Parts: sequence; C-alpha cells; structure tokens
Amino acid sequence: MTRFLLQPPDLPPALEPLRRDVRAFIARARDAGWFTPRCHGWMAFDADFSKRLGAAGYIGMTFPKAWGGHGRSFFERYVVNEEMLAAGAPVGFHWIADRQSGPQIIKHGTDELRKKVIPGIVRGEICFAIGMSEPDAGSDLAGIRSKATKVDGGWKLEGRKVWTTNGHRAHYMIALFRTAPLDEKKRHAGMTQFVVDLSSPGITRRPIRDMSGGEDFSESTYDDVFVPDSHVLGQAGEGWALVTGELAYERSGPERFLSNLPLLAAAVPGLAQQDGDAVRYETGRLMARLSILRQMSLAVAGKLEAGEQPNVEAALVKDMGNALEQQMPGILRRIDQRRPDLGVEGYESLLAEALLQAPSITLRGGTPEILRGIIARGLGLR
Amino acid sequence: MSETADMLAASAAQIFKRGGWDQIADAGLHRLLLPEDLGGAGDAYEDAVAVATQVGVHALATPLLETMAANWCLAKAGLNVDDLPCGLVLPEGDFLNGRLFCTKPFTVPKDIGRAVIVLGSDIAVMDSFSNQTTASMSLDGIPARQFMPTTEGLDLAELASLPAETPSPVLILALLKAAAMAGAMDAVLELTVDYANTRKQFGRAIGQFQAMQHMIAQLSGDVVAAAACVQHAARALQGPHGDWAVAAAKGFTSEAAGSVAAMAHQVHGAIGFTEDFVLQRYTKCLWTWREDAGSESAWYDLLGSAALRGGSAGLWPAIVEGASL
Ligand SMILES: Cc1cc2nc3c(=O)[nH]c(=O)nc-3n(C[C@H](O)[C@H](O)[C@H](O)COP(=O)(O)OP(=O)(O)OC[C@H]3O[C@@H](n4cnc5c(N)ncnc54)[C@H](O)[C@@H]3O)c2cc1C
Repeated sequence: MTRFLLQPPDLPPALEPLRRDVRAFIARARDAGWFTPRCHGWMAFDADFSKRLGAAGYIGMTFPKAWGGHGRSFFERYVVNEEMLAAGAPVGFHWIADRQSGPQIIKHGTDELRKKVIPGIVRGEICFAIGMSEPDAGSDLAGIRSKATKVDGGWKLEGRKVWTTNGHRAHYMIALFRTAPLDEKKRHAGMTQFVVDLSSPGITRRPIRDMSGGEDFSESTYDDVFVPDSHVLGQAGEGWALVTGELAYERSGPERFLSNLPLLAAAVPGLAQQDGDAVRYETGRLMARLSILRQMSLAVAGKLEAGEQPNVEAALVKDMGNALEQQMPGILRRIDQRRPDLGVEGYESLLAEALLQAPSITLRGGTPEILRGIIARGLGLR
Repeated sequence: MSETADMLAASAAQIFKRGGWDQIADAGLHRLLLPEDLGGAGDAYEDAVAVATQVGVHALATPLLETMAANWCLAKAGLNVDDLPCGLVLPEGDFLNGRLFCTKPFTVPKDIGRAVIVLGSDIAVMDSFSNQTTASMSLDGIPARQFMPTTEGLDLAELASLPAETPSPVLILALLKAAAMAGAMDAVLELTVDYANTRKQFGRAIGQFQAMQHMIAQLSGDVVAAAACVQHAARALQGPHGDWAVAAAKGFTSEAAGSVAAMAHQVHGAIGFTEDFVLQRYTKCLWTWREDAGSESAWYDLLGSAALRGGSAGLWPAIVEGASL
C-alpha cells in the first residue's frame, strides 16, 4: 500500500502581519461598499474588485519576479485567498488565472507568451478560462473531439467547448485540443494545451444560464481559429501530462471547503439563540471538520511549495471538502427552522443560494466518483 | 514528524511487538511527558503522539496512555511518580473532606495499583479499590472495575492542585487516544487494501470493483485526516488555544472510528467477523478508545458552544487560530 501523509506545516510567524493587512483591506473594501459577502466568492465575477486586489499586490503572489509576479510563497498566497473566501469577497475574475493558468504558463509557456499575459494577470486585468469539457467529454476527458491541425506558424482549431466557467467573458482560455486522432490503446496521447486568445476570429461564445439563474459558464465554438506556435504549452501531443500537472493546484485549495463559510457565519446568531444539543453538536462538527480540512489543504500547499506533485492528496482534500460544503445547507436545515428565501436578505437568501449551488460543488473540477478512482489507484488497488 | 519522534516511534514499535508492561517501563515510555530529571522529555507532545500512534498500530490493550497522562498530572502537581501502570479518571463530581463524591459511574482498569482522579485543576490519588465495585469489561477486553456514586464517597490518598496555566489533563489523554486511533486506522487501511488486492470473487480481486474502490478511498480520507489533525493538535498544544485543536482531533477521530471500522468490516466479509482474523482487534480498540477522554458528542458540543459564543465575527478566526473552549 502507498501511504499518503498530510503533515500540517508550521506556518512562519511572518504570515501574521500579512493576514492583518489582508483583513484590514477586506474591512475597508466592505465598508466602502465594494462588495457584499456571498457564498462561492471564487465564482463571483467582479473585474473592478480584481483590479483593486492586483493593485494591492494580492494576485500572482507566487509568480517569479522575473515575469512580473511577487515571488512570494504558497503560504502567503494561501493566506490571502482563504481570507477572501471566508469574507465572501468576489474573486472570480482572477481566481483561475492566479490559481492555475498563470503557473501553467510560467512553467510551460514560451517567453513571448509569459511577457504577454503574466503582468496583466498580476494586475488583475486578464481573466482566464479552462477549456477542457466538451459535449461528449466530461469525466472522460480523453474523449474530447475538438482538434487542432498544424499550419504555417501555428495551429488551426475546430470544435466546441462547454461548461467553461467565465468562458464568455474571459480574455484567454487554456484549452485542450486533439492534435492526433484518438488511439484507443493510448487514449491519453495526442492532446495539446493551447493558450487561446478568445477575441480571435472564428470563435463564437454564449453564456449558459444555470439553475440558480447565474450566467457563469458558457459554450464556445471554434471555426478555423488560428493560434500561433508561441501559444502552445509544452510540447505538442503532451497535453495530458500538462492537464494532470494542473490538478493539484486546482483541487486542493481553500475553495474546496470554504465556499459556504459565509452561510455558516450568517447562521450563527440564530443558532446561538436556539441552542440545544443538536445545534451544538452539528456546529461543533462543522467547525472541527473545517479546521482539519484547512490543515490538510495547507499541507498540500506545503507540498506544492516543495515542488512535489500531490495529485492524490489534492483529490482527497477536494473529495472531503466538497462533501462538507455540499452537506452544510442540509445540516443547517435540520437544526434551524428558518426557510430558505431568495427575497429575505441575510441567512435566508444565503441558504437559498447555497442550496441552488450545491449540485455543482461535486461536478466542477472532477466528480467524487472520478476522485475516488484516482485515490484508489494511488493506494495501490489494482 | 521530528527525527526524535520518528526514532521513538520505531523503538516503541519494537517494544509493543513483544508487549508486556515491564518492557514498556524499562524503556521509560510511561515517563515520556515528565520533566527531564524524572526521565522524560518535558511536555513533548509530538513525541508522545508518536508513541501513542504505535499503540494503535499494534492494537495494544495497555494502560500506557492513561499512565503517561496520569504521571504528567502527578509531576505537575509535585507528587511522586512510580513505574507501575496507573489509571486516569475524569469523573463528574466533587472532592469533599478528602473523599470523592461522583455523580456518575466511572471505571478503572483492574490491574493497576493506583489511579489519578482529576476534577478541574484539583487532582487526587486513589490507591485502595474497595469492594463497592462491580466488574466491568471494555470492548477491547481489558477487565475493569466500575465505581457507582455513593453517599459516603470514595477514599482518596493524596490531594493536590495543578499549577495555573497547566493544560487540562483531559486534553493530554484525549490527544493520546486520538493518536492511538489514528494509528489503528492506519493499520486498518493497510489490512483493507491488502485484503482487497488478494481476495478474489467473480474471477477478479474485489479491489477491482468500483464500489469497493470508492469505499476504500473514503476510508483512506478519514485515515489521512486523522493523522493530520493529531499532528496539528500535538503542536498546537504548545501554544494558545491548543484545546481547540485537541477537541477537533478527538472529536473527528472518534467519529471516524465508527465509519472506518464499518467500511473495513464490509470489505473483509465474513473472515473479518472471526476471532482469528486480526481486524477485530483493531476495530474493538477503535470502539473503545473513541469513548475514552470524551467521545465526539462531548468534544463537538464544546466546540459548538465556543463557536456559538464567538458569534459570526469569531467563526473564521476560530478556524484559523482556534478559540478558548
Ligand atoms: C458550475 C460548473 C463549472 C464548470 N466549469 C468548468 C470549466 O471551467 N472548464 C471545464 O472544462 N469544465 C467545467 N465544468 C465541467 C465539469 O468539469 C464536468 O461537469 C465534470 O467533469 C463532469 O462531467 P459531465 O458533467 O460531463 O458528467 P459525466 O462525466 O457525464 O458524469 C455524469 C455522472 O457519471 C459519473 N461517472 C462518469 N464516469 C464514471 C466512471 N468512470 N465511474 C463512475 N462514475 C462515473 C460521474 O461521476 C457523474 O456522477 C464545470 C461544471 C460545472 C457544473
């Protein structure tokens, strides 16, 4: 059996002044009316807020200074991001770029590309999307059909992407395309990641309305779209390895268990009035699990900082964290009699929104069924 | 884990394979939490956790953890420490006129010479176990005596107080029991993965069935989380609000003990239900230890009360820094 250990790191004391600064920033932002706290803040798209964060130095913190980043540690970035989510701040505009697209480009992109996009990401002015899923390729990503063909100086894209968060309003998409036909014996070969400028001719995009009424994800089609060679990530044909390399970044962060924290915070005064054994037990249980998941997630950040690729550990954090955040509205319903109500400001509308978002938690970023398969293989089940 | 903790874990593992109290006492494991002049390493919670984890890895039915915590209390209170197994009792009730008046029954293992009784920051030693006890037996098979509340109270030998600023002794025992559970769960996971890879049905290893894989993956999540929260709690106990981290660790491991045991038994089928197969030793330990030093009900209740007291604004800081229980 392979053992997976998540050893909670000893956080450097130097993080505390940073945390104080971030909390002060958030308090000022709230007082100034720049945002109203909400759940799933990392899905909330607010270009102005991201620019302000960029100006404060809170985006691209781990990116090397040479490329316009701040050269700071994963833990410093973690502190900023967890404080934002806990406060319910709208960080959706830059979240994906800061979390994975930027790091992916720094690791695998050409210098030309790095110069073109990294400084803009850091300023909070460039929004990225992840173009993996397609109509016939969800969990089974190797089933993508969108394809790229080599042409002089670059590639031509044909195909369609769906469920792309922010796809209709992002500037760029890191998109996975087939660059060689599917070989059933080597399903993961022959795919390539491209950084696609979404303003290129030949791209049509439209938002898809989700069941909560939001328009955060989208569909896009690619008809003879040119992408220059300088926008290829890594080697052509090695897209699968690149996609897997992103997953530890994508799956282990605080957004995998803190999405509904603003709801719990709003519930507390009412719960305190009600009290009772079940109220205390469930509140305590949620607090224990949140505290522990945070330590586990920090431990993954420690592994990323050390240059490891903790994919299985990240899958564990996402699976446990998603289960908790998905269950939270249901747990609150059992111990608090207030009805969810989209029209009543405060706890009632936060609960209603959390209930409407709940199904998406275990879909976006990989389903529990897929995550558990990864974990089982990691453990050595054959 | 630190290098010393690693080395301690390795030598504890050797001792636990052979087993008896004499070997444990010869190695001084029961004195680990004492100051150096009494044969310990100070309040070395991380080292103690490394040893306690091995107790779990070997499903050892031993009063070692109670003795470690009891000795720690005795030394803090300036009382004598010896090398015999010792009980640690956290009853509900009062000390009055040198006697213990408890309001609920409690048990101590049968084969101990004395027990340390803790009530808040007062401690007492009990070394005569009168006839008023009834036989009791925990799920892991350790014979014990049960004391019932009486109007006369129970005889106590020595009374003392813990100095101010001492962490509550229940935290020490809760941390050690949580560590033991984390160790036992780790062993259960290993048994389960091995079994799933070897047992064949329908022409293939049962570990190839997705239902089994997903159950074992979930089991492994609890195991990884248990180890992580115990490690964190051991370190947090050195700083402010260590009680929060210990409460989370003992609450979580106690809750997970139930689901881990259930999933492991399901994977093992009938063989796991036999006395001969080793799994039951671990699951019985888990079912016993989750009750010791406060079950998840007790700890979640404390965490919940603290969270509700702290209000909306205190919620997030409590998750980050902990809060007073
Ligand atoms: C809000 C939201 C945002 C998203 N954002 C993005 C984005 O930005 N970029 C992007 O590329 N994608 C995005 N997605 C898509 C997401 O990654 C997919 O929804 C997910 O991978 C599942 O694919 P699917 O929806 O096609 O479901 P399917 O793959 O068809 O799965 C349906 C069900 O079958 C189960 N299943 C599938 N295969 C197996 C198996 N082998 N064993 C057992 N069970 C199985 C699944 O677990 C699931 O329960 C987003 C989705 C949502 C809901």
